[in-house]
Amino acid sequence: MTVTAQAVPTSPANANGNALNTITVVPNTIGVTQSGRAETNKVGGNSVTVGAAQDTATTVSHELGHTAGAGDQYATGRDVGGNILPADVPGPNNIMKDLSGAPANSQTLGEIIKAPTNVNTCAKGMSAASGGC
Amino acid sequence: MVPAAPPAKCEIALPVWCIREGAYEIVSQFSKHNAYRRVWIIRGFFKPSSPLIVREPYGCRQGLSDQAEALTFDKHIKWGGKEWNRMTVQLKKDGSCNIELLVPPFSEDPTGEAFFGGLALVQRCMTTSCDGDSLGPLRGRFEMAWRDSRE
Repeated sequence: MTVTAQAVPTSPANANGNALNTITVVPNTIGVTQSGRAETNKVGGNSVTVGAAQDTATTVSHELGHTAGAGDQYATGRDVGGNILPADVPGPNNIMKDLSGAPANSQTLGEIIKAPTNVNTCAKGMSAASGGC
Repeated sequence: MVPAAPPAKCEIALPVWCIREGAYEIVSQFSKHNAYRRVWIIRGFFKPSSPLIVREPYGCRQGLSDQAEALTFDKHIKWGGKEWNRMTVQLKKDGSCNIELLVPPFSEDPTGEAFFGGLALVQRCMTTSCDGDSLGPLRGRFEMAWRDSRE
């Protein structure tokens, strides 16, 4: 996997006290992550692990969906509340359901908008979930 | 357990290998060459002009993969009016399924859409339900030669 990156000067200090997001690229996730596949530390998390050997841009997109606050939509995946999904969420292919390359669906967009990690208080500025301050 | 990527599934499953879901376009052609049964053209989302070409011998239509051995890397292979780099991978020990993977030279596709992205979409089938590994890990065997294909 080749990653083209733009260096942006930053530090925890100018991340408003929040931890920075990190993407760790390991040679192969088998034997490294719990599932053996690419993972994010939690829904709304800030630490992604992907494998150079087998993962594609679609895999990274799926994991970035988790960092943004979206849950899985495939059987055995984790929904937005951290629960194991007993079956695929009905509906067409989408980025949180499979690796077909299909875009996010409305459920994913809603989960991201309402994610606690994305909602600031009005004292801090805009609140996406409440439609603004 | 933490949230993880969905398990990779085959978009098109053949007996010895499969094409994983994630391609923008997959084209299957009858081969004009006696040695191959079909030619598969796999294009990604980001640079469709740099496809991965898979030339599939007849022996890939029966049995299972019992091997994933990087055999050779060759430059200046002509196909479809263009020149390609060719990686040959043995998927069966009896040698009946040595698939040929054609990617554009480094100079034409320096981001490696076909080399990196394409190879990750090709999986060998070790069971009848096509459980198996991606050929992505074999890239390390070919990468230096591919990066040298600048001329």
